[in-house]
Amino acid sequence: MYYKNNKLILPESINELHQTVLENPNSIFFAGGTYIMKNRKMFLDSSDVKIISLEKIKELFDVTRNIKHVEVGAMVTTNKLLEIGNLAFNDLLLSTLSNTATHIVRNQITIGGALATSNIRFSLPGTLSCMGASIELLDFSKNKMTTKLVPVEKMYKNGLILLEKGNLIKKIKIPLDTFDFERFYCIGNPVKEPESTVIFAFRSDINQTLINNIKLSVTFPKAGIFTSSIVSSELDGAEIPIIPKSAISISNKFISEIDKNIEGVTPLQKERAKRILQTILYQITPSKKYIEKNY
Amino acid sequence: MRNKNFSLNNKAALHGLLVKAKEGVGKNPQFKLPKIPNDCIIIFPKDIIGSNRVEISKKTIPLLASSSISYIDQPLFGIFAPSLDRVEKLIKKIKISYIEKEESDKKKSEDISIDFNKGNYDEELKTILDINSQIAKDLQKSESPKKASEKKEILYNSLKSKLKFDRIKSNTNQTTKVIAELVDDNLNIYSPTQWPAFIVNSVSTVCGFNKKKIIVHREKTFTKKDEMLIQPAILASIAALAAIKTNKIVYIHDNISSIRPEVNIERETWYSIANKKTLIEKINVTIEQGASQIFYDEMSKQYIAGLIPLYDLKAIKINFIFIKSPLEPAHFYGGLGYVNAIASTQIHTTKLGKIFNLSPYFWISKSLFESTIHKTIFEMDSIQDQKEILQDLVERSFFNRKYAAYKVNSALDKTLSTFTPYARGIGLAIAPSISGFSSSHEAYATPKINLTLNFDGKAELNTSFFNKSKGSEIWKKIISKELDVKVDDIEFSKDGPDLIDSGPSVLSSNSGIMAVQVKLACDKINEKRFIERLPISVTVGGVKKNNKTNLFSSNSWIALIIEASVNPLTLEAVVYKVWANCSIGTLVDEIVYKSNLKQVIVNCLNEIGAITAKGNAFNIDIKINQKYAEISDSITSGLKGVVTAAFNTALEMALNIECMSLPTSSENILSLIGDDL
Amino acid sequence: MIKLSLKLNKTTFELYVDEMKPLSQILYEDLNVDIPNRNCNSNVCGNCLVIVDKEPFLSCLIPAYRLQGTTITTFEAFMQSAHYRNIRRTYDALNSEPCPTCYEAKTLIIESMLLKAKTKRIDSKIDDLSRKFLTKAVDEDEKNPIDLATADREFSLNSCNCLTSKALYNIVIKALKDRIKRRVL
Repeated sequence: MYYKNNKLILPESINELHQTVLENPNSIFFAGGTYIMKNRKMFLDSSDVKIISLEKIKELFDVTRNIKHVEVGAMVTTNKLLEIGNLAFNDLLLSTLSNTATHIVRNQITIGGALATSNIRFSLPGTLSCMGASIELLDFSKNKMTTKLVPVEKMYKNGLILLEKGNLIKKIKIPLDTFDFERFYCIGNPVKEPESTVIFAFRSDINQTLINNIKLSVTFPKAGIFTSSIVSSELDGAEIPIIPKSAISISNKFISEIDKNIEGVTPLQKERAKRILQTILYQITPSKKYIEKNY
Repeated sequence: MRNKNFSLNNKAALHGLLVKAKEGVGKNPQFKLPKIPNDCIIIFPKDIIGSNRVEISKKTIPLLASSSISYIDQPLFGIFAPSLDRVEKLIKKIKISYIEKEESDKKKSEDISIDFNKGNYDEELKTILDINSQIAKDLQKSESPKKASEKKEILYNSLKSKLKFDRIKSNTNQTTKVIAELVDDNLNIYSPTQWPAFIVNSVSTVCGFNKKKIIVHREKTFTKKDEMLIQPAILASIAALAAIKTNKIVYIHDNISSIRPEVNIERETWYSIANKKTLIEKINVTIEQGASQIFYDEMSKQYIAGLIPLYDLKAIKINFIFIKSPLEPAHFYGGLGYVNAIASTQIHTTKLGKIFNLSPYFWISKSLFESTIHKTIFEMDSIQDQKEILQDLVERSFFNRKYAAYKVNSALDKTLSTFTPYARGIGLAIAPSISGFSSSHEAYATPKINLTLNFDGKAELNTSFFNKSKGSEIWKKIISKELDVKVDDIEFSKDGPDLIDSGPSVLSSNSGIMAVQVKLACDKINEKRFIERLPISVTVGGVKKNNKTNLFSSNSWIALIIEASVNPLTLEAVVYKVWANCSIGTLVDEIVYKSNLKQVIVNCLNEIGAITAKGNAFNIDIKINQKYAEISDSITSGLKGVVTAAFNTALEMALNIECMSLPTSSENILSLIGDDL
Repeated sequence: MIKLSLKLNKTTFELYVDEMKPLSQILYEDLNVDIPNRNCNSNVCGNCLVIVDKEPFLSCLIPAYRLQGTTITTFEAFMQSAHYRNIRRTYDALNSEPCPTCYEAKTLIIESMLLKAKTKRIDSKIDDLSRKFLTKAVDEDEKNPIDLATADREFSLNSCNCLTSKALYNIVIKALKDRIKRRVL
């Protein structure tokens, strides 16, 4: 069923949505709407733009689970995900979700929306890419609708999302792995201070006194998400605790890697990223007890 | 309180917005208009019936930009339509172009310079320099090292310091609504305002309307940064013009902001090395006020009061330059500069103590109140009280021990390392607090009020200061106590032409000073009571020639210590502990007072770029000493000044680097420390 | 444009508005309700809170079409409720309240936290064995329904810094205890 007006369309199923997109190529998807409403002038000012609201499509609200994964529909809100994942998800994801905005705003932020913002990155994509999550994409651009599964870390480049016109995030597949050492840091506010905020997700396993299976991702809201290969390779198999000299050397290499691979990172963000990495490295100990740290 | 009779769906109403210049400073704006519907109206400068300028504090400011744009965001015209949606659609259709003006048309910048001198600075400086050069010559000739070292001891040296306060714009984020309605012969204006008389004068000047027929209905407002001083009058004038032309109720909506000017304070103090005595001081202050240098004269007085230090000097020379620039006018911002001046003085005082190898406490307690020059500006009370308060504060906070420890630590390398983070500092400051205008400002130094005791035992207070605030509760309590009248039987005069102009409600005039005025009025009534028949009406305050030589008087002093550190991860300045001792007059409610002081401290810290530690780690410990019998003056300005000074000193100690700019930020700290690791 | 039917403080209204017009503008322009700081130009000030179907929302983020058939409670109406009186009593008891700029927003944030907090309380008079059993069964959350870090996070929605995080947390905890005691929840 459609609203009887020029601008807003509310399809009730995926097929209807497909049809709507084909008929209205110049349209934007409206999920929770927090980002679009905050930037109304940028998105809604033109009278040509059609708005397709996803809130009546039931398939996008489904949550299914098996031993290894949870599949979450794109329209599931962050609060809902936090509630259902309280006993299932690892601390890294739970920290990320609970640090996203506040309870009041989380009622409106959808997982799909948080991943698909056009020109700014928030905390969820970085953590999901660190955990090895993947996205099920629907391609509506052609007459026949197609589906593909894309790892989250492949979805972003240079701060922009590689989501083509007519593509929709349907589900997010989140692995239920837990790791021996997990850390999430968010310094600053990505909405209010995007040019000084740094979001860091780190996870690794500890095998007696050696560290392995390392993955980290750092998010700079305007500049993009960065996953470091140098840190992973330098730390893989390293003995813990890590001495200050090594920590400083690794963090300096990390910053050089950022300089080479990503543009638009401010000096303050680089300094904060360096310091966060050092702090994390000093915290890695043979003890597997998780120490809560909220910034 | 918004007037519930006014509905935004009222079809007989017009809603308007001010269109402002987004570019084209110094240029002539030209407008290409679409066809304007009959139910809409645009107010251009040429449509103004009276004058396109309003007068304030001996200066005039333009209402709308006419031949030249003075600053970005200067109002160009007002546009009104039956709904805001239509207004916004019309605005999109209007094309504005900016035409370059000829060289001869462009006015040169008009900076204003003010000097303040006590003692003969130039002569004293010449003497010092002569002695220095003579000693230098003697040293060159001298063969005996002992004599040379003795001569070195009596050399004079100077300490220079700089402090910059960045230009800050504070947006209320709240849309202010001013309503104008012509009813019979009267022009009713509904507006939040800190100065109703200014609205009356402005509307009268702009619209050519009789002042007695202009009634300002004061709406409730909470202004942190004096946003409602001038802008409501400009909005009211334009709305009034539209109301007169169309005979409809006119609403005008605007997001009002307030701006603190950029200030640079440079100080140089000459001192004697041998006996650790300060001699002369020169201070250069440049204040960039934007396109209108209003209130500059009072601003200079407020700065003078704060810049003159508590240590003794033979001579002092202060030079102010008020720069005119193509920026939005900057003047009142919760004060007129006393806070900045106190901060600069106290930071400089601590640095002098460091030069003399004295901890701030010993240096301040030694030099406190020795200044003869300070006494000519300030009417002050007992020295001994302030010294005792300072001593108590220092003991309570273990200041001396912490200062010694942090001093040793700050000399260490890499205090901001993530591995061994220990960048901590502690700062101390003390200052008197002032409120209201200086005694040289004849019109507003003492707000004019009228108090009437009626025959039915009720009292009526006539003042233009807003009467639904916490301050007004205190006035009621004073009247109730002094005149033995129930609080519920005390009324405030209604809005109208008979409302007395008490001046602008700024500089905390509505707290301590108003309380003093109310008490004075009560005393005068009590003198006449039972002698004269009721009703008895007295008027106090208002314009009078002031024979006072002191610019300010104060019975409020505040001494404050701040302990702060720099977070090695976020590079933010974090404040952990605040201790404060106040020495004030009598209070009505101490608990509420302490709670208000805590709010002021937290707000001030936030403004200067500090964050407070989370949870239990942050604590404010305030001790209040009600020393004086008379009603306490407002302590806000002094408190903000000492918070700023103590924080800056603590931050400099934590980083072991001079911090010359406020507010601070993580970016500032990063640029100061460079590559620490 | 859509025909919007909603309830504002027990009164039903029918309006014709643009489908994407935010609730804050509808309240101001069409319903003559002045939300403080309703137009912060995307500065995320957190001050435009209203209650929609008993849950607080930022009114600048809700488009008109989502309000069909909803009940909106403004702060003035909320002030008539027992929940508000409970919070007001707490402000008076602690002599600590938000400044006029953010009073409404912070009060509604406190209200949202109190609604979310679990109200089960452990009876202090039970015997040791029962207490042990209960302690195991009851979540960490329920013993301490709101912790300082969470409270801090929630209050960060509002950008005004008139009160410290500790002061706000004390208000929340005291209000919660008062509600449990008076059975207001």
